[in-house]
Amino acid sequence: MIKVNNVSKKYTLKNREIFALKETSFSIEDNKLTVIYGKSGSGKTTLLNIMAGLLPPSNGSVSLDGVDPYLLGDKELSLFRNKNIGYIPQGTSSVSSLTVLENVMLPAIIYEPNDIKEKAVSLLKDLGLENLMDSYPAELSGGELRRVSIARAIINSPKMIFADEPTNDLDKENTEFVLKLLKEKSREGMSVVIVSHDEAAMKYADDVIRMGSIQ
Amino acid sequence: MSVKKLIIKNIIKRPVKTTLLSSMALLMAFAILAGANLSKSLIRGLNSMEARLGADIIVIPEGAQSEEELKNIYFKGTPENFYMDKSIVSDLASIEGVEDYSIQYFLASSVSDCCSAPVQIVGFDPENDFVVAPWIKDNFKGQPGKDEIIAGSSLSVQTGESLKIYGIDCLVVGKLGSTGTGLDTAVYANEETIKHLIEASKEVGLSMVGEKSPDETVSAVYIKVKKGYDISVVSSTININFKDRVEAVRTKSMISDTVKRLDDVSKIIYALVTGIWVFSIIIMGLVFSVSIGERKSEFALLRAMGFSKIKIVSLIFTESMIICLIGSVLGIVLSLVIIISFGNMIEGYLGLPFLLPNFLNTVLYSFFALFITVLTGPITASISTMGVCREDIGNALRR
Repeated sequence: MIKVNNVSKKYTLKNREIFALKETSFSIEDNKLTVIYGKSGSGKTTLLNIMAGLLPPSNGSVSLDGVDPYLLGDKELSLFRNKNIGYIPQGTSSVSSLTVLENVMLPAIIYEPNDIKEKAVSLLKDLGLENLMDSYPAELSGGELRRVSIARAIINSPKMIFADEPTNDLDKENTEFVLKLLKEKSREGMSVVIVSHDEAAMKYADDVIRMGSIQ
Repeated sequence: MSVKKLIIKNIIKRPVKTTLLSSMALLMAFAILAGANLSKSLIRGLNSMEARLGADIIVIPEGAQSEEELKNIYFKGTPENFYMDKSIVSDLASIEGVEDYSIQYFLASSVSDCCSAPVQIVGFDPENDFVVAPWIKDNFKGQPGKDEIIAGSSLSVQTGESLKIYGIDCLVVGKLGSTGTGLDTAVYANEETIKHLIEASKEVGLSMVGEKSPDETVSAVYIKVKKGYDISVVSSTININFKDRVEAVRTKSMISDTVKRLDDVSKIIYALVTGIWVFSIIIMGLVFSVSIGERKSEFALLRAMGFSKIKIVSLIFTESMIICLIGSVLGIVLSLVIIISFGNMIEGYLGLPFLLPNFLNTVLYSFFALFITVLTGPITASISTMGVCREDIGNALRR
């Protein structure tokens, strides 16, 4: 269960307070695909990052399976993220010096040596990337890189997946593919939270949280 | 797959950054080790020179050129001939404050004799000499006999070979260790041999002693002053009493110019090393700062995957340490090759005594250069990384 209690985020810029996220509260049940839908600038990504333990809120608290990530020290929080959270960033982030296969295996070997190659290869096959395993990120298209991000996010079989605009800049075919895959993961027992302004995401959602624009 | 592989691939896959940083490390290690070796070589050269002079006062023939000629023998290895009447020896022995004395004979070989350049022949009395004999004893057991010589370290001739000097075959019975002074290009003989050679030089018309017999001349008298006596007073007494015959030179004043020049050269070396070190730190800092700035979103991604701040800093620390280690090792090897190969050329260029540090000191200086360089890069990189790690991951990922 993911709980968001009175969470808000503000920044101070030249003695002026700017709200990136107004006070928000809601709960997300386990094993569901939840879409946080809203216009650009509504604070969707800020909310997702707060929920994923990547951005401390200015006020309020977050509970991920009963754990408030912001009460943990950096070491404990990092371990918690590694074991429980799969994060799919917006854009095409990846480690440029590693091959596609190595990028996917990376989260699994941070804390202990792990013979994960077989699982990573199987994941890449499922995602249609088997021919690109030895390629470097610079050689891949946007859609391919997004699929690499998904494989990397699920390699550790996390309890929760947070995806920031996973279908942004993707063609229709790739969009359907990515959303179907995430839906499948929620059915397999992962709680999936997607931030999107893409209407296509709605038809895969078990729950939708709509966000208004910040005044 | 392991985190080590990530480090290695980060090094290999960023060749421009790796080459630039390892070049800076190479430059830094080279400068530190070369500077330390040069400075130590000059100090050792001077100490060796002081030890070789081995007396408080040197008495040489009166004349404007004699002191310069003596310096030429010691500092430049230029062979010289100068002589004075031997009767001065007993006069000097009677001066108050003189504890002991040694006499030496200097003879320059002719170019056509043995070597590509004239060689300085130094004659001494192995029984009574306190200047050359103790040094020679360190390298050669026994005493050279008639027409036997001991060669300085810089001469290519080996023990058992012969040198023909003024038509006389002189057997090389020993080879001396390096002193870093002009004495390394000289050969040493007992009184009997040097007198034989002086006679031989007369026969070929190259005598510098004129009509006098070699028994009636000496080149220099080395004086030890008794404890409690002021060396400058004894020196002045000699200069006053034998004004027109000889000149007494304090050994300390003879090397005072060298000490000053060595001091100046050392200051230049330290300034250069410091300059190169600071320059390398600035360039390394800039390269790390730009490179780490470019990798901000990559670090944020690693943190989102579960890397802690300390793991990221340790990753960059190790990465930069390996790069600096490669550069440092190359810099140290290059520095040693240049210093060892061009030591003689540097000595000639500086015109100062130059004696390379021993093996243990060289190893210590190499480790010092390695330690400083290998730590400078990673510390600079870690400072830049800590700044990046302070940023919220969510914000960094959005860029």
